[in-house]
Amino acid sequence: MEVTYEELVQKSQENYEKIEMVLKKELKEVHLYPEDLEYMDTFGKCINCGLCISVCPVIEEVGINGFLGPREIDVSMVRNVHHVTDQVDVIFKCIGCNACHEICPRKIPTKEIVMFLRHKLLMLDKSKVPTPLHSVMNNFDQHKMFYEPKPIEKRQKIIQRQLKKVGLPYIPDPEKEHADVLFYTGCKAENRLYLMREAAKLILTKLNVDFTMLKDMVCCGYASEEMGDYERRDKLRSELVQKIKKVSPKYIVTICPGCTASLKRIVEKYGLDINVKHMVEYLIDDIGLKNLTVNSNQELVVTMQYPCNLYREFGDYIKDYFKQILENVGNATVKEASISSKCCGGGAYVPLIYPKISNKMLKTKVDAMKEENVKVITTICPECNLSWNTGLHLFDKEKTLELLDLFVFLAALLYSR
Amino acid sequence: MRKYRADVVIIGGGISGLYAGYLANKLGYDAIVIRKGQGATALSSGNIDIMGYYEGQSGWFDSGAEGIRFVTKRNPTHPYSLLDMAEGVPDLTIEHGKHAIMLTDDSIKEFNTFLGNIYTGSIAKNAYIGTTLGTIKPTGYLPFYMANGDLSHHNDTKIGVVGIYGYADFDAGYCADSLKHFSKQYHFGIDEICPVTIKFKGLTEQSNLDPFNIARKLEIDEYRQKFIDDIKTALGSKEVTHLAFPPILGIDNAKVVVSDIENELGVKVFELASLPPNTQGLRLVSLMERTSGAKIQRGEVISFNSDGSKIKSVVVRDYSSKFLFEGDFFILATGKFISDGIIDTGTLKESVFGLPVFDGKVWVKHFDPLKMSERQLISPKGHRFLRIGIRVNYKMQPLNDEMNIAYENLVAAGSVIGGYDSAFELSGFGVAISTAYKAVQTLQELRG
Amino acid sequence: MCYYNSVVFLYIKLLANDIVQKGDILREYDVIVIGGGVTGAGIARDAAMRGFKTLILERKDFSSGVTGACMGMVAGPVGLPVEREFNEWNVQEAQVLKQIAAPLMHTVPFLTPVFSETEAVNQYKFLQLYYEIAKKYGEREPVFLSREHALKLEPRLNKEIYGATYHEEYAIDVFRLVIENLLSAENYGADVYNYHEVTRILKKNGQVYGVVAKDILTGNEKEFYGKIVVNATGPWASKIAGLADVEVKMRPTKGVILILERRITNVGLQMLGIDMTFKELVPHENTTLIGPTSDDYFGDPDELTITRTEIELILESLSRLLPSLREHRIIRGMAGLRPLLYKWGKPAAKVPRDFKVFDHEEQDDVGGFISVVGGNMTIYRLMAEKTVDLIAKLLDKDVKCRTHLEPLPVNEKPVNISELSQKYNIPEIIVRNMYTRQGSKIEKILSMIEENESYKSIICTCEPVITAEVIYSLEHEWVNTVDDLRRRTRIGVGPCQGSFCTHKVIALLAKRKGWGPLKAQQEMLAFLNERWKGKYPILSKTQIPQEELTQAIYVGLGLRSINSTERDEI
Repeated sequence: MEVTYEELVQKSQENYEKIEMVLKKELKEVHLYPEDLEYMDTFGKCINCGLCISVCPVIEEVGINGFLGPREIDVSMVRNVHHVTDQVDVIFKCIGCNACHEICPRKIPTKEIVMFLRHKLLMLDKSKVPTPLHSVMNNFDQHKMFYEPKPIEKRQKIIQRQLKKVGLPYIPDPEKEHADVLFYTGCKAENRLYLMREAAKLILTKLNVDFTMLKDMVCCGYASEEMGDYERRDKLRSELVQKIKKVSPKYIVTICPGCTASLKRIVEKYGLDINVKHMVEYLIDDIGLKNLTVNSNQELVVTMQYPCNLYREFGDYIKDYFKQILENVGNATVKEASISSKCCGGGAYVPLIYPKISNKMLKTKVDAMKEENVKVITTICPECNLSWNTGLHLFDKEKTLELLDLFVFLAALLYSR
Repeated sequence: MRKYRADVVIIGGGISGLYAGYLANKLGYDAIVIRKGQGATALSSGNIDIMGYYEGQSGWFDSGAEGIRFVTKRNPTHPYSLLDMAEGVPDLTIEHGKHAIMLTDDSIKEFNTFLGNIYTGSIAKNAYIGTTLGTIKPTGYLPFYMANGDLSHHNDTKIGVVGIYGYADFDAGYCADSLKHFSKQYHFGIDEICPVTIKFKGLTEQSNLDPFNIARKLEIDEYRQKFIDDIKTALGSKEVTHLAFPPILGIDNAKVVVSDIENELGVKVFELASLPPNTQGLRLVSLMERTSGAKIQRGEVISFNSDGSKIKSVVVRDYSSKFLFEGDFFILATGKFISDGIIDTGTLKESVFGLPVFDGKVWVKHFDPLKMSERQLISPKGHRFLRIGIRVNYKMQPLNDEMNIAYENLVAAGSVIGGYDSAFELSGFGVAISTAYKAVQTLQELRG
Repeated sequence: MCYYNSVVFLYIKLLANDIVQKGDILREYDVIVIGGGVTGAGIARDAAMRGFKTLILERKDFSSGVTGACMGMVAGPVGLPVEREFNEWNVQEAQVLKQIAAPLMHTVPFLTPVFSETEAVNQYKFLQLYYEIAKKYGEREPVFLSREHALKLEPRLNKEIYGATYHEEYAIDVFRLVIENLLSAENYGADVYNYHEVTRILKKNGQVYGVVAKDILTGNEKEFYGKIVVNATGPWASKIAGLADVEVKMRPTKGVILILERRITNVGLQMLGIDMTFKELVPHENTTLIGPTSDDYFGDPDELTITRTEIELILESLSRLLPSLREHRIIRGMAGLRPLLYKWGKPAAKVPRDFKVFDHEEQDDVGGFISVVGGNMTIYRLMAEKTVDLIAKLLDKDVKCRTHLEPLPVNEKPVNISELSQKYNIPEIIVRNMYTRQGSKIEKILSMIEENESYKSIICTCEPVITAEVIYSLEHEWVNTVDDLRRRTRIGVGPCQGSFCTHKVIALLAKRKGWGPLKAQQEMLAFLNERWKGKYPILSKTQIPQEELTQAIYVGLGLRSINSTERDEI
C-alpha cells in the first residue's frame, strides 16, 4: 500500500492518544519528563549504609516489617519509579520528619524522593492514592483549604468558649486592605485550632503591629505538595499570590511551620519582595525580646516539641528562639528532653492513612515524657499541637501532662496585666 | 546573615573533629564543631586501629608501634611519618618512628581520658578481635564492649557466639565456624567456639530486625531481663566462659547492658567488630558529642572568606538558614569521599577550601579509574584512590600546590589528609586521633 | 535409519565398564545435551517431556555463554528496515513464550525515529509488512507519530527528527527462562548438571556413545553414556564438534552490550546506527541496555573483551537519537558471540539468523551425534523442537513436541499478588519483584515463612530479595556459587553491587554446601572480585563513596586474600 508522509502525520494525534492510554492503563508505565530526570539526578546516590534506619521514628515504632524505610526507598525504590504502583504501601508511611536526611553522610533527600514518588503515583493512577487523600483533594477544590470550614456561627461559639476558658478577650479579624504584615494562619489553625489563631492575633494586636489577615484564606499548597499533588499546589499558590499581592505586605508572619516553608518557596518562585517569618522568628528578630517584657509569677517548667518542618527544613536556630521566648518572656524554665527533636507522629498524612502507626508513635512519646518527669509540653506548630492533643487524649487519661501552645501562653501573659 | 564567633572553628564532626573540639576546649579555647551529618566514624566498629599492615610486611604487625616503625622507614609522606618529624625534618639520631609512636600513644591516652577511660589496649601490642564477618583482625585499643574480646589473650575459653533469630545481618553459625577456624590458625588458646541462636521473645517481629531496635529494647530493664532469660534457655546446659555478640548491646547505655548480662549469666561479654548498619560507631559519636565540651552546630560550610593568608570566616548553611562563623583558627576534619570531604566535580579537590589533593606521591587532579585502583578488590598494595587527600606538613598545616602553607590559621586532621589507605593498613582511628592531637598542638603554638 | 544397534551398544558399554574407575557415576541416557544455554535447556526440556532419559551438562553456570550476554528481547520485527528478511517464527515463538513464561516477560514499547520523509514512509511500510504477520497473533498495530508527538512521548529525543514509528516488543528474563526450562526438564526425570565440562566425546567405530565430563567443583572425571549426544554449545559448537572429529562451520559474530545505571527514557528506541547496523536502547528493569554491535570474530570465545571502538559505535549511534546519552554512567559491558551459521557474502550484521540441526551421521558418518547451530534466543524452543524431532526419528519413537502447550513451572497457575502481600504482611513491591522471577511459585516460596518467620528478612536491599527466595533457589536451582545465585535472584546487581548482601548469602550457602570457613571466604572474595572487575574501570563521582565504604567494610574488617592471613605463631 502506498502512503505519504503527510497522511502519516495527520493520523498522529489519534495514534498518540491511543498510545498514551496503553502506556498508562495497560503497561502502567510512569512517564518521566526531562525535568524529572534532572530532578532525580539531584538525589545523589545512596551507599546503603543504614544510618537512616537508626533514626527513623516510624521504623523505631513498627520495625522494618512495618515500614521498609528510608534505606529501601533511597537504594531501591527511587530506581524503580516505573513500578510506583507497587510502592503504595510504603511511600505513604513516611512521616516527613527529615531525620534520615539529617544523619545521612550523602545527604540523600529522602523526603523529596517520597514526595516525588507520590507525585508520580498520582499522575499515573489516582485510584491507587489512599482514600483519605481524595477527600482532602476535594476540600482543596471546593474550599481552597485542607478542611471543610465549620459554619460561621458554630465556629464563633467555639472560639468564644475557648477564649473565655483561658481568660482572653475576643478581637475581630482586621479587615485592612494593606498592611506591613500579613498574618497568615494556615488551614489547621483556621479550621481547627481556633485558640492558637486567636492568641496569635491578640499578640500582634497587643504589640501594635500593623497587620491584616486574608478574608478568604487560601491554602499555601504545602499539604498538596506532601501528597505529590503539584497541580493543585500550583493552582492554590497562584490564587494565594493574587491575594498577597493585593495586600502588598513587607512581611508574612505565620504560625504554621509548614506554611512558613511553603511561603518562603512561594515568594522566591514568584519573585515577591516579602520576608516570610514564623511568628517565633518575627518576635525575636523584628519585635525584639526587650519589647516583650512581661512579669510572670508563674513557676512553669516546660518542654519544647521542635516542629520538624522548621527544625529540619529551616535551621536549628529555631529551637534557640523557641527557648529564648519561653525563658525570657514567659520566665518559664525549659526542661530539655531527649525526644524534643523527635517527630510527634503528625506529618505527611500518616495520621490520616495509618492512624495506628501515628498513635503508636504518640504513645511512645507520651510515655517517654512521663518517664522524664515532664509536666508541660509547648508547641509552636498546629500539626504538633493537634498530634499531641490526640496523644494526650488517648494515652494520658490521668491527665499528668499538659499541652500548652506557646502563643496561647504568650497571649495570656500579655493580656494578664 | 546571623554572625557567630569562636576561637577555634572545627569543620567536620567525626572522630577527628570532635576530638579536636575536646582538646581545644580543654585548652580554654571557645571551640565549635560544625557538622552536616554523620560520616565514616558513625559507620565504624569503635575500636582503635593503629597500624595493622603495610606493603612489604608478611602478615600483620605485632603492634601499632611496630607498624609505625615500619612505615616511617618506607614512606615519608605517610601521616605517621609526618608526625615522626619533631622539627620538620626526620631526626636521624632518633630511631625511626619513635617520635610518632610517642605522639600517637599520648594522643590515644588523652582520647581515652576524654571518653572516660572506656578503652583498653596498648600501642606496644595489638589485640586480636573477631568480626561479624567471621574474620580475625588486629587492633590497638578496644572499647569496653570489646574488652573481653581480645582472642589472643583467651586461654581455655569457651565462647558462645550469639545470633538472634530474625536478625539477618548476622549468622552466628557461620561466624562461629569461621572464628574457630581462624583462631586455630593463630594458635589462640580458645577451647571452643559455638553458635547460640536465641529467639528474643520480647520482640513482636521475628524477621527484618535491625540492630538499633534490638539495642533500644535491651536498654529497657524488662526487655533486657527477657533477653537474658532467652539466652539462658538457648544455652541450656552448655557451659560457656564468654558470649560474643553482634552490635546490639545498647546504644547510649551499653555499659549497663553489658554488665547486666555478665552479672546475671556469670560470663564475660563482648561484641564482635561489625560492618554497618551497626550501633558501635553511633555509640562513639554520641559519647564524643556529649562530652567534648565544644559547641556543636549543625550545618554545611558552603564558602569561606580569607584575606589571602588567613581564613577569616566560613559561611554555613543549615537547611534554609545561613550564617557566618568568624574564627581565629580553623581545623579541617571533613573526611574523605563518604562524607564528601574530597569530591570529584571533574577536578578532584577538597570540598571546603578547594585545596589540591595528592595520593601520597604526586598531585592528582583527575580521577582516571584505571589508574586509581587495582584489579583485585583486595590488593596487597591497597588502592590509590583511597590514598587521596590533602597534603599537609608535619604540623598538619595544609599545603597548596606550590608546597607552601595554604592558610596560616588552618590545620587539618583525619582522613581528609592523603597519603595513607586506612582500610588496607588498618590505621583509621590511629591516624585520625594522632593527627587531631598534633593539629591542636600546632594551634597552641600558633597562638603563642 | 535406525542407529540404535543394541549389540554394538552393549559391547561398547561392556568395554566401558573395564576402563571406568570405581566410584565414578555411570548412567545411561537416551539423550545427552552438551551446553546449558537457552538452546540446550530447551532441548533438555523437550526431550525429557517426550519421555527420553535426558542428561544436560554445562561447563560453567547455566546462561554463562552468549545466552547471558544478550539483550533479552523477544519478537518484534527482526533486523532492520528496508533490507531485512524476517520470518514468522519470531512472532509465533513470542506468542508461545507469552503463554508458557508470562511472568518473566513484559512489554517494551519502542520508537524508531526517522530523519526524513522518505525514511518515515519506508519505516512505516516495513512495519506494516511485519504487522501483516503479527496481527494474526493479536499484536498491536504499529503506528506513526509526528515529531511533536514523538517528542511528547520521549522528550529527550533529537529535535531534528521527522517523527517516529511506534511498535511493541517483549523483554524476558533470560536467566530465569533457562532455569525454568531446566526445572521442567528435571520434573520430567532429566538429570541436570552445571559445572561439568565435557572434555572428551566417546566414539567407537564411527558411533558416539557418550561423553567424559569433568566435575569442575571436585575435579573428578565422570563418564556418561547416551544414545544421542547433542552439541548445543553455541559459540563453542565447532570446538565440541571437534571432539568428535567432525566439523561444524560457523560464522560467529561478536556482540557487545552496555548497561547504564538507570532508566533514562520512557520507551525503547531503535535505529540503524552509524555503520547502518541495528542498534537499540532498551529500558530493562531499573537499568538501560544499549547495543548491540555486530562484528566478525574468529578468536577464542573464552577471551572476549570489549574495545573502545565497540563502545564508541554504540554511543555514537544512539546519541544521534538521544543527545544526552553520554552523560549517563555505564556500569557494565557484556560481550557475547552469536553462534551463527556459516554464510558467505554477507557483512557480519547481516548474517541471517537461520538455524540448522546437523545430523552428523548423515553428513560425517558419525552416528549418535547432533549439532544445533544458528538461530536466536527467541526461537530457542523451535530450535529445540526440531532437534528433538530428529532425535525422535533417530531413536525410532513417535512422540510429538508439547513444549509449546505446557506452561513452564513459572506460569503454572495464576497468583494474586495483593492477597499474598497482605497475607504475609510483606510490602507489595517485594512480592511483585519475586513474581517476575518465580511466577506461580511465589506461593510456595512465601509459605516457607510459615515454618520459619525469619525467612521474611531481606537479604538484598537493592532489589529487594528476601531470605525465603534465596533459600528456595539454593535448594532447587543448582546454585554453587554466589554468582550463580546472582543470575537466579538478581542479588548483587544493584547499586551496592553485593557490598551488603554477599556475606549474608555466603552464610546461607556455606551451611547448605557444607563449606568450611576458608572455602566460604574464598567464595565471598571471588564474588566481590567479580563485581569489582565490572566496577573499577568506570569508577567515578558518586560511585567512589560506595567503594570507600566497601573497602572499609571488607578490607577494614580484616578480610584478606587467603595467603596473607597465614601467620606465624604470635
